[in-house]
Amino acid sequence: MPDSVVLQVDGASVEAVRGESVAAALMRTGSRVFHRSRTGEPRGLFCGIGSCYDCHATIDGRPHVRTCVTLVRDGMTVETKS
Amino acid sequence: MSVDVTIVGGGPGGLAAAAAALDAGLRPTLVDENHTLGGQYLREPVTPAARSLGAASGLAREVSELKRRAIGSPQLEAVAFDAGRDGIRVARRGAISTLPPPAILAPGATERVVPMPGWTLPGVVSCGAAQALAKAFGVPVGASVVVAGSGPFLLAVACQLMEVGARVVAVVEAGRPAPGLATGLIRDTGRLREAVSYLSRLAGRVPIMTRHAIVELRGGESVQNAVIARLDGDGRVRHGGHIRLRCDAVCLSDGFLPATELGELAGLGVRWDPHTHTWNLAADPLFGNTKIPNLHAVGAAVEPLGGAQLAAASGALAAYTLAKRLGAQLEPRAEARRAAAERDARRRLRFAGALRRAYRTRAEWYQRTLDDTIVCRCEDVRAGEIREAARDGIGDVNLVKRWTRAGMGLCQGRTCGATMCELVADATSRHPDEVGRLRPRPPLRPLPAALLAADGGSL
Repeated sequence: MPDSVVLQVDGASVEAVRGESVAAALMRTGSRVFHRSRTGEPRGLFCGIGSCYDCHATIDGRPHVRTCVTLVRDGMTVETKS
Repeated sequence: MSVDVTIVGGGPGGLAAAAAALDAGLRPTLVDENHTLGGQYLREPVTPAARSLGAASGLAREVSELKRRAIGSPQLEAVAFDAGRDGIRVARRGAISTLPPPAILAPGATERVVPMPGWTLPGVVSCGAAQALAKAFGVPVGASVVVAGSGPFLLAVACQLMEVGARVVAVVEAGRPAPGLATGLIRDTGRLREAVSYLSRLAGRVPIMTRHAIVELRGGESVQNAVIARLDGDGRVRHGGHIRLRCDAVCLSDGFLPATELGELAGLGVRWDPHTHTWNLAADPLFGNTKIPNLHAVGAAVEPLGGAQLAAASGALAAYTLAKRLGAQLEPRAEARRAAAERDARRRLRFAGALRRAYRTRAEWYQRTLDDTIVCRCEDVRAGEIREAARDGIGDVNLVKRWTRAGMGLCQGRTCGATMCELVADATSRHPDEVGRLRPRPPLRPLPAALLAADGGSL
């Protein structure tokens, strides 16, 4: 099994390491903004352990998916509104 | 005899409980919501980059040993979302099941972060988030990082950040750890070595500023500056002499908040801890005994300062205690291991007492939460709205929640609940244990409505 997978993040191809979380893949490539808050503020990773829900993004069309506890998959699409 | 025992939480407490349960002849079923066992403290490296760091501590070996012994078939990615007399309700892979008592709860804790203006900026994370990124994936949260808050966890995270190549701009500690800490550390040589090793790795490379705190974070789409102020001995901000540090990430931690929700739904009480300003699950901190005979609770949810070591010792002790109450006869070697766990737990508990005296959570810290600071990150409710509601006579945080929507979002108040208590208490000149606390409501995590409906909608 190859060690890397490719995600589509806001339409761009991003290489990620198999086994890592979506949040880790985004942070490693310098992405910080994962969604906009209710009042339009940029938000990203915060608690990192699945508790605060502030790292959510739209993954494979599903909104409000926690990127910190979701592992990368080849071909996964991530929409961050950044 | 072979009795099933449900264990919730795959961190040090739950793993040790599972290993001891097997040792005592019980059949443990361990559930954890993560992809891997270990919880937060024992988070295993997942990627090659993280594995190459190779800091195979004694504890890492301990945990792989625990995992090997404890785990027949753990249920991972299993969300314990409700509890009642008939057991723990667990959602896993689109199905719901009820795991019956007896049970040992080891749900752990989340981090306290005292909000200040700008803390919602991307790049500002909890120390636990930075640690998870570093340990599991070898990813630094930023290139130039300020680590701030209070507690020995700051030092550990600063070291881990350096290991993955980040520059730690400063460690900013609100307290000034009292001499009591040294005495306590000597009682627990393992943790003494750990503390000394962190300090020696930081010495000369990272400024450690005690009695300082971040009062503001600035940036556009992500954090760029941290403004640091001096604190007085009570934790109040002193005027003048603010320092600005450039950074591209900030890690915050002001202690730990026990995850009491599942235990409360199961019928357990909580008690106020005036040193940590937390509500802890009401259980014996050594044996995990609670007011419900077949239900034990251990770890950070009971003693937020106990660390992984007390969690592991009391987890094991709880399982042996439960087995004996169920009529198990321990073999001599198992009895020896039980006795060793008891000695270990007593020692670790004494250390937690020393830590309690050295680091104190201060109500004054929340003066940094200025009125325009967002408190509820889910619903974007600001501190001023919460204070105003409290001053207008809404004195209970559950009513403040309904009035302001703070605590009503996806995280169900886990992130803002403690802050709400402090703000409401301060605004009405009461103690935080006098203003109520957000009541946990099932499901404890958002679940698909179809899943709950298919299960009969019994919530």
